[in-house]
Amino acid sequence: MRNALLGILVAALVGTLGAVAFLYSGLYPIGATTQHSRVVYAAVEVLVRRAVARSASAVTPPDAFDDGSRVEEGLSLYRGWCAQCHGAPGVAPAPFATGMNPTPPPLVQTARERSPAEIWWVIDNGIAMAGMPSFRFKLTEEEMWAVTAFVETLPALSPAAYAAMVEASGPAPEPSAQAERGGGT
Amino acid sequence: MRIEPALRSAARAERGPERRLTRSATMLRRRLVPLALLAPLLAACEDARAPDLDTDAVREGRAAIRLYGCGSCHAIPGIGRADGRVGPPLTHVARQSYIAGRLPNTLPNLAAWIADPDALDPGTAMPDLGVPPRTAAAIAAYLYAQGEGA
Ligand code: HEC
Ligand code: HEC
Repeated sequence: MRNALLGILVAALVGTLGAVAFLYSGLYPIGATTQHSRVVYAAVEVLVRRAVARSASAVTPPDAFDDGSRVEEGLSLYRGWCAQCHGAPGVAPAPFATGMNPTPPPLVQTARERSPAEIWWVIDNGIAMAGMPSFRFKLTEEEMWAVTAFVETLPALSPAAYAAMVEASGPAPEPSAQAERGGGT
Repeated sequence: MRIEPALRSAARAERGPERRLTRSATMLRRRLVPLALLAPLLAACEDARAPDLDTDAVREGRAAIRLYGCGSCHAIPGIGRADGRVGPPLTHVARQSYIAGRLPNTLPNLAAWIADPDALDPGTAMPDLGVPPRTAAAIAAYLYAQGEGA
């Protein structure tokens, strides 16, 4: 029993020292061009999914937030703040975004797989060490619900229908102008 | 339908030894499990199912697939995080008769699709990612060399 305890202690110590040595060794390939192993990706995905689900359980969407009334404002905000990274139906992200690792995912898939509360939470908080910014001080809570309402329409939006919406809503708004009007606090 | 036979058989020929190599690497790894306990989660080893493939084109194609983020929309064999579910999985491109249900499956057609999908199928949800023609051909070579039916 004693020996077993000692063994565990020694193993823990060696493990910790090894981990610290690894951190300092500079051996981990940190470039965005390196692919990490499938295990790392699977682990990170579970971590993010579970953490977002848990945090978002405290978020309640405003009444009838998806009744369609916010979609137009949401589209405008989406084009100003999100499309460069996430693209849109039939529209590629900006060239810089496809070089990111992880690549910002198309949000049509997200809308199919996540709840509105989770999407809103991610916009509000961002995702650490992944390149997804927090918009808390850039957009108001209402504006973030408008973006969420628009994202919720993506699974039913064809590229042609998206192009028509964009056409109807005029030139892409400048994010900075929106920041002055919106959050910015 | 004519799929660049030379390229394909070159890719195929290389896969035999690669597979064996991968297998012995796997066995070695099993024996090293106790040691590997330290950093298996951290080690950024390449995916074991993605042998370092033969021709320059295939290798370049693999790198380009990562850098253009194709995996955010497609599941692609041999690419770490390629698990997108926006478009179809690219798991047996070499065996398909048509690309995007529209074009006969040839190397030039596949490359043309990757370079500018909208030109071949207006209104498709796959966007024009600005892949230059030469890079698109390399990506096509990789897709033919990987997955089922390669
Ligand atoms: C600078 C680039 C960038 C911008 C701008 C950006 N995002 Fe993201 N976003 C990312 C990245 C990268 C990820 C992937 C994080 C990950 O894989 O864990 C992400 C992830 C997300 C997710 C979670 C996706 C999922 O399936 O888990 C949502 C939701 C999201 N973004 C919404 C938005 C919205 C809405 C906007 C605009 C208000 C926006 N993002 C702007 C880079 C960006
Ligand atoms: C924004 C999402 C998105 C991105 C990014 C994307 N694709 Fe696609 N891709 C699609 C969709 C959607 C389809 C189905 C299109 C169709 O059939 O008209 C498709 C179809 C294809 C097909 C035909 C598949 C088949 O079964 O016939 C190939 C090959 C392909 N994509 C390769 C690529 C490559 C290579 C890249 C990266 C350079 C890429 N895609 C990036 C969404 C995407």
